[in-house]
Amino acid sequence: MRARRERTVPRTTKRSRAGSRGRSRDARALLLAAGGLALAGAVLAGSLPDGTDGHRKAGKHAVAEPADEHGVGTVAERETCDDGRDAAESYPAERVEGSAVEEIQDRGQLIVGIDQNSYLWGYRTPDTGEIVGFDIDLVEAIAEDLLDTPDPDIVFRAIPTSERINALQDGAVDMVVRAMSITCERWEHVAFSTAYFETGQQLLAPRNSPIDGFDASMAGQRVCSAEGSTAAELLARESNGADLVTAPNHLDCLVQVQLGEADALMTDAALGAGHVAQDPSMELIGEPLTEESYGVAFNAEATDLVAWVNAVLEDYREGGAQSRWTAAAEARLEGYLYGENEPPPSPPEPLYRN
Amino acid sequence: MTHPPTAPPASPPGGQAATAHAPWPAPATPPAATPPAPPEPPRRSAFAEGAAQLRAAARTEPGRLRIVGAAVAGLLLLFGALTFYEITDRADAARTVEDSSQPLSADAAEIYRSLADANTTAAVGFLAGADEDPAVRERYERDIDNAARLLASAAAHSSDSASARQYIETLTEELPFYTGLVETARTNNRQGLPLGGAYLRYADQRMQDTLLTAAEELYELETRRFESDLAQARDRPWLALGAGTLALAALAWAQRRHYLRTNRVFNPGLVAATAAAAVLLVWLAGAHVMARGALSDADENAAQSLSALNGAWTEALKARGDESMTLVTRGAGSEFEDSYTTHMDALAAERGGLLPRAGELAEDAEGRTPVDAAVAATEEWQERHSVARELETAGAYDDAVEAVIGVERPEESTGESFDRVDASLAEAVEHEQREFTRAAADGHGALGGLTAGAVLLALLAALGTVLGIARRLSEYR
Repeated sequence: MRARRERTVPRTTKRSRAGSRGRSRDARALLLAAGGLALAGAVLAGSLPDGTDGHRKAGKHAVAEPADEHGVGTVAERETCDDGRDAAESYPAERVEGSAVEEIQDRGQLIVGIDQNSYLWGYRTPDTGEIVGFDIDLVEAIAEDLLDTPDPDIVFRAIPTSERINALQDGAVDMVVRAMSITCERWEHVAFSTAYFETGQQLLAPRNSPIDGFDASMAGQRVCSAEGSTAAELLARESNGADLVTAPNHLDCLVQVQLGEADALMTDAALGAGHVAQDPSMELIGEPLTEESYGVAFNAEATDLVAWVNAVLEDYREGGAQSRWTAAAEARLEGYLYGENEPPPSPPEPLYRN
Repeated sequence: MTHPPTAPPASPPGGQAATAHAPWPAPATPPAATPPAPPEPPRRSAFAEGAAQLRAAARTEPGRLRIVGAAVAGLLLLFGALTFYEITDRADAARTVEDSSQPLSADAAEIYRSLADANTTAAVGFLAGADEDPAVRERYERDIDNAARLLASAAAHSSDSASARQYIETLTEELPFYTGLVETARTNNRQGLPLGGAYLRYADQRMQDTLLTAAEELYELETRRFESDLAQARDRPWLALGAGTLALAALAWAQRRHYLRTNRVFNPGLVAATAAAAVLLVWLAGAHVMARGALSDADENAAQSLSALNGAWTEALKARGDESMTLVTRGAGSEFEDSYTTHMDALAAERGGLLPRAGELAEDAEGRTPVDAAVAATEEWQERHSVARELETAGAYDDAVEAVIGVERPEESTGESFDRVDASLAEAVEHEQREFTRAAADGHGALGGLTAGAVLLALLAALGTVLGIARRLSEYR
């Protein structure tokens, strides 16, 4: 990872848990400003209604606050790439029929790389076998627009986390809509749309786990992450003495934790909320460690397609409470990433390259 | 050498045996005792002692006669003992093949099949979702019950090798863990959680990495053991044949000597001994040739057919598993499809495929018919599979699933083709198994009575020799 990344991971707050509660509370107050934290709080508030912990409640309030990309002294900060651009900056939105767009339109079919294991985001409903989720709603909006039909022909290809970039590079799929975080390093291999959701990496462990943060309490614990995920990279850089385990998918990590083959797992807070929803004995631990955005990923050459999808995303976000984005959030995420009767979070503001 | 009554006459060297049996007293004993029968291999010591006695008693004809009688009687008893020993060994091996080691190998193959079928059935159930046919669930239950029952029986009867026990232990421990994973997958599926799919993947991995590996190793181990038992049963009884030839040669020489000295052609005792020894030698050679023929038949026809059929069945199950997993993973990659192609080639490729090989090995029409049916069903399966695969690559996922599991039109699915391959192979295996058991029983049966006959005839021959020599000796009184 060549990108400069400031992660003043909260050693002070986490390590001295017993000694300096006051200080850590101060730090948390500051953190509330950060969008990533806001999201994590929302996750906890939404999925664990019985949670009485201070920062969980705080998180709930922070949900509606707009994300501040440049929070001061935060746990996590947005990634800025070598050329000084924010990682989430994408090509300007416009509908131009370049070769990539034409190929899809001629084919009359959109082939999308998705995940069938990310509860709430993109998953196979076991009773019908259908793939649904927040990501899938977005895929449908994109396909409707690209193919100009209310009933578009979409081919879903489930791909493991580690294969997302390969699948785009060798043309197996037109795009990947699979809770994929935009990072500078990935920009070197693929192209991304503007951000469509914001989240951050977070630890997840059973409630009785001795792990209480991204700190020394992880020492000797087996921590699982998906191969090729941002979580795996983060843990590889800073494991805090944990034994690292990888699996093809973050959901396989939950299986391993349930079977006692791992003690905790790391994924982003948005996917973690899906885990807590499936197994309420799990909880998100501490604060998100990064501030990341999900984007739709494309083959690096397909700039016309990126621009087109950015234009679709503009429409998707448009309309405030009436936007399709909000409708999808209410349909898929309410009660899990934020409380039942609370307003959904706002979509992230798009950032464009000049 | 487990039979006590005959063992003693066989073990002491010929000279001593002769003295023990000789009905005449003192005169020969002192010279006989001079070389005190050292613990050497029987045949050599018989001759060595004979030589010593010859030197000691060379001056008197009765002495020489006693030596000759003792040596010939000793050789005959040795012949009987060796026949008893070697045939017991061959018959035991044949019985082990028939009653124990071949059935254990067949059971191990069935354990593998039941497990693989259960795993594939679980994947098919997952693909069908809420529409899962109760028959699919029942098939899974039946497979698991069958595997558990065979494992319990294998634990009780398996060859007592440490590695066989190890494999059975692994299988017995892992099976409930596997079924637990499948049940957890079902529970989560019913709650609409994708976690169920993750459990099923985990269960599949566990099945491939642990259970099926152990079952395959167990099958190979039991098959090697059964083949070695079979080879042992077919091993020619060289020692007994050699001893028999030698005994007959000794009898012939004794009679020629008798003729040269007395001008009398026949000595009734020695003639009777010759007849008894010849009968035993012919019986021994004939019975073993027949047993060997039957066992070779069991091996070359039935056992090799069984091995090809079991291999084909395994490949069919693996190909079916890959076909289902391609759809379960819904992947962009072709990992499972490639694996399907590999297994399908191993099953059906015209050159080197196991099904064509089983067809070549099939001996009779009854064996060939089910193999032909399996070949036809496999061809149809391959055609249907390419249709399903085309549907899947074209993005018609639901149609591809339908083409593979056939909820709406089961008669047109690859699953139906696979079931017919499965049923035909079951029939073929059953036929070859019957053939094998019959041939092995023939082989075992051919040796029946020979051990008792060996004891009786050898004793008769020895008695004849002793009486024949005693008659000559009496002429010196």
